[in-house]
Amino acid sequence: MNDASKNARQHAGILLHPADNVITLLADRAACDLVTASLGEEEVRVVLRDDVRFGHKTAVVDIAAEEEIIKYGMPIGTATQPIAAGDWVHIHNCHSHRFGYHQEKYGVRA
Amino acid sequence: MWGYKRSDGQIGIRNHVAIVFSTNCSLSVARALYDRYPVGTQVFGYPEGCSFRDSPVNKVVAVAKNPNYAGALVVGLGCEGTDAREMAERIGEEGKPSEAVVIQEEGGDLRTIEKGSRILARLLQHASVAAREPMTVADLIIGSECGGSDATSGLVANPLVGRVADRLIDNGAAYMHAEPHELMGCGEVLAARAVNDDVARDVREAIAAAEKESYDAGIFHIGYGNIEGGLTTIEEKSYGCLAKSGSRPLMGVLREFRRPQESGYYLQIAPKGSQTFFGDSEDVSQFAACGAHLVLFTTGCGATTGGLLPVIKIMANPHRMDLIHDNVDFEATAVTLGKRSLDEMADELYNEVLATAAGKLTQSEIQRHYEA
Repeated sequence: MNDASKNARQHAGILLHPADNVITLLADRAACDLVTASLGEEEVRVVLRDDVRFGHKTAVVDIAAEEEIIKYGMPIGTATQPIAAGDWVHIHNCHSHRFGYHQEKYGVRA
Repeated sequence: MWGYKRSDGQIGIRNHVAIVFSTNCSLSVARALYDRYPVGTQVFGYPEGCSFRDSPVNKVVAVAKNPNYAGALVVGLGCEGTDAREMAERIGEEGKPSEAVVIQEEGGDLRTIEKGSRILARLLQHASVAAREPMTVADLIIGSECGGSDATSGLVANPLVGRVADRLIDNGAAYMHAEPHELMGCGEVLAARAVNDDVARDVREAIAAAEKESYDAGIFHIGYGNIEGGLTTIEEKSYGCLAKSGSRPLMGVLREFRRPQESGYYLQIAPKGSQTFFGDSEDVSQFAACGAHLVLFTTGCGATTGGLLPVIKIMANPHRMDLIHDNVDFEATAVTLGKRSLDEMADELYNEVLATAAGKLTQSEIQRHYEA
């Protein structure tokens, strides 16, 4: 798995596994910013379509509705609507269909 | 490293006297004794009234038998379902000095506090002359916990702990974590690491049971702080949590507060209904019941809880470090910022574990975060 320290020196995003279709931001970035991440020889580049904060994710490829979001090389949820590369990926467009998710119980202040 | 030799052959890294309440009715007397003798004591117990449930009482007894305790005083009321004297006998069955005082036998709080004080004075003095014995990493049992997780937990803090876990295990320690409700979807990954088919089946069952519980209740162990911090689903949180397990084979699932007998990585699962408190501190008590000496505790949002065992608090979120500065033992934000490597900081964290085992107090101990 990619080591945050090796990655963060040059890149604002971190790509954890070659199968991932999202990267996680290690710094706040705004819509229209170019965000890069690397994993070994592979480098990904994406222009943000949303503001994405430190710790949050953006898609590096277009993801269809009902397609799985992959992080750590594992499915972490399903896209609830089509997602474009550069979109913020979070609870508004990625749900856990396997385990369900009751957003109203946690009173998330979006 | 020098530890405290106990009569059952275990070695402890701390030397407390446990003040145990056997019912919520004796809680205030137990606290009054703790307030009177706050140095070298901890208070915990079974907070129910007339009812007796063996699972949580077994846990409380197991905690008091932890080698970090030099002795125990059980405080009971007299008419509750739990028998304070019997608890004290069980705690002391391998020779640990363990006594009981019962409020209704003494005639009320004040006389009980007087008698309890004299007993504590003896226990504290006994603790002070406990024999010391050299110990090594191979004598250690270490627990790990994540609390107030955010994206940095899975990216930095937990992988850091995972590297330390591998090194501890390679040097002979036993290492465990729990929280099966935050290992959703991790059953197969863990089964693949199991040393044999029995352990593989056991861990699959443990994870499946936790998944079913969460699904049936519609309540998943992911909350506001996790979500604000970037974690989108319980699976994402779970894979991040799993990172603290390191990479060594899974030796077994510790059920019923079984103490690990050999080095290696274990998953700890508490019996249903054995809880006497809540949250991460309850998990720390469970590790104590399994004989653990200390706990590596990662946080991203900023959980400040500790527990009955020394808690080494590890924080890797540079934006939130200052929010809980006073409570952090190991700042790993340099890795998140790309200034230090995981391996370098793992060496430092490993040394911090050794130092804590050798006597260095953690912030949780200094600030008396003895939640239980």
